[in-house]
Amino acid sequence: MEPEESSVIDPLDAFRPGSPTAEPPPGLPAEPPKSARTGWRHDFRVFRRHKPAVAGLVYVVLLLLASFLGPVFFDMDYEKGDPLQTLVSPCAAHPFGTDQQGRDILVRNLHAARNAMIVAVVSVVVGLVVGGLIGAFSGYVGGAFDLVVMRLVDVMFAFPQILLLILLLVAIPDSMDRRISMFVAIGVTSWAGYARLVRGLVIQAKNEDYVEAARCLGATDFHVIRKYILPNIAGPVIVAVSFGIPSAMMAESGMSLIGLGLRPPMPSWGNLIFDGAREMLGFPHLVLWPSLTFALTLLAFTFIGDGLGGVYGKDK
Amino acid sequence: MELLKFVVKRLLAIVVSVACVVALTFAMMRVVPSDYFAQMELRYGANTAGKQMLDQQREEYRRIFHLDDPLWKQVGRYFVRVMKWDFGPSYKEPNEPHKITELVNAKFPVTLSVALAGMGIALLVGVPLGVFAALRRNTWVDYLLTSASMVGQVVPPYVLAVLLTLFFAVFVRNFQIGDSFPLAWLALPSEGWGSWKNAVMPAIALGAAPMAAVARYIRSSVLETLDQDFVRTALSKGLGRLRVVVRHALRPSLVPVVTVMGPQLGYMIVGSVLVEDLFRLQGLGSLFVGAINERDVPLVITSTFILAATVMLVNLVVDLLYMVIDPRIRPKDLG
Repeated sequence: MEPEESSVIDPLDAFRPGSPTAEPPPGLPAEPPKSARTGWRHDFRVFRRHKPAVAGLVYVVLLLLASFLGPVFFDMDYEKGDPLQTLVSPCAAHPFGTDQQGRDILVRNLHAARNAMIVAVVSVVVGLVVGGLIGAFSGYVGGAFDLVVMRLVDVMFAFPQILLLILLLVAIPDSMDRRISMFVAIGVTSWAGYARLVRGLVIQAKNEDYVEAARCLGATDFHVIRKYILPNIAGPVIVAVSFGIPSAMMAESGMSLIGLGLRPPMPSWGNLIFDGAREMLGFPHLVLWPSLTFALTLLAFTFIGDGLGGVYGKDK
Repeated sequence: MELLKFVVKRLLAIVVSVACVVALTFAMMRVVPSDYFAQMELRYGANTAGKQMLDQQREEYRRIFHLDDPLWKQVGRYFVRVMKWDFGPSYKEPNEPHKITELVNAKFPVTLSVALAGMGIALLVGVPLGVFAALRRNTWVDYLLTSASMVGQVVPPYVLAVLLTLFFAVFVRNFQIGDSFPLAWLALPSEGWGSWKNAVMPAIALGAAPMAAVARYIRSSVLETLDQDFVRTALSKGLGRLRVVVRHALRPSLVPVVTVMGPQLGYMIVGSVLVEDLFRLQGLGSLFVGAINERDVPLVITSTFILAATVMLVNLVVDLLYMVIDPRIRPKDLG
């Protein structure tokens, strides 16, 4: 560097932090604004560009509010029917109509949405925690444990999921709240997928050069996991979870449809659809609204998953 | 030789997996909190004498069906039964020694033909849709088809079936298409065994997911080949646009569709469990659900076995088919 040139005042220096003599490498801004490139603000900006995902998020938030706050403010007993108002077509008092026992379809539909979301979220968390821990341990430690776990995962994948789900639901005692049985059953059928995903990601992350470099500098396992592995696997796992929720909902409603999920007085999209389909041609409102809401909810969650996939660069 | 080794290896893997499935089913059926007799009691009620009779029957069944044997013995005996294709009597009809085999032989074709019909619909509709979307890339037609395929992929078959039936039966009828419109096969039969017409809607509904998968696949694949030099050559030789698209762009994309179909066909066969009861189809799916609800253990085990084995064999057959269609694919490519 020639001294004359460094003494010349660069007008851009006014925008640079530190002393004006500090020379930033040419072509690079001295300090890129950090929040623009990383962090959840940036993630949200990318997410927002995916219009269907935003629409899906809005829909899900509205459904959450209606189904969880609705019962707080309104009388929303899903079992209470008005015997004088059976099989009413949609009107002002009952926007979605009523069923054979005079129960309001809107109320039952919202409770079904609530049950579906509770079951989906909890069972995905169960599957993720169990599968994620097993997969992470298996990938990080390797060896014989890894081999055994992966064979077990292969067996789980060979078993058709719906059949396993049915067998599990039959084996779980009936005395429990059926929602809890669903958490267990869906968790057990879905852990293998998460285990396989997390294991692959952990193996990929732990073989990176910078992890090796950190180890050479004396980093502990805990440090490596917290600083290098967790941040690297978080994105794809979030995407997998967002696709796991609609499939857990499908599992829940499918099982309720064949009579193994939530038991009749408690509404689920599965049993609403099954009961409604019996009277489909005479009273289409019985089945139309539940199936439309259900279909829209599945679409909304899938759109959110697509949006998250865009954010984290891993489209499934 | 290589091929033979591949087939044998895969068949062995299937046998092992199926053995796991059967063993697991036996184990599950042991820990079931409420067994066949408890279900009977629940359904029909029983006085003290009836209860005694049921208990007696339970002991008798323990002996007849070898329920106290260790698991490996049960699985082994079951495989001997499979070899002979004789699954023995069910709980419901203990005096008919070939009851389950008869049931399976009668109901398997129903499930398989619904699945194959769905697959046919998926291919017949999915391929043209995919090509069309590719040719109209980034226009509203493309967006519409892409979103429709999204719906087909995400919404489960029973919801789709219900919505489609409603659409045709209520909406179309209200708009006076006329009596000639074949409403009969859209409406749910009220009772009875039903006919092949009941299978149309489930086939469409089950076919929606593979249709969407095929359309998506064909679309991206045709888009890729349209940029290739040989397509430009064909166009500049003066061949018609349709001919170029079908003969040159579509043909190489059709072969890998087989790999898309494999898992989908398996999914459709297992999906019959969810759809058949709703449509009163008398297939394996409704047989399985019925057996589960009655806790008819031998019937549950056999229908689980048949469904699982079919799914695995279908995947093998599809892999083999892929190799026949495209000789460049070698067994090692498929693992």
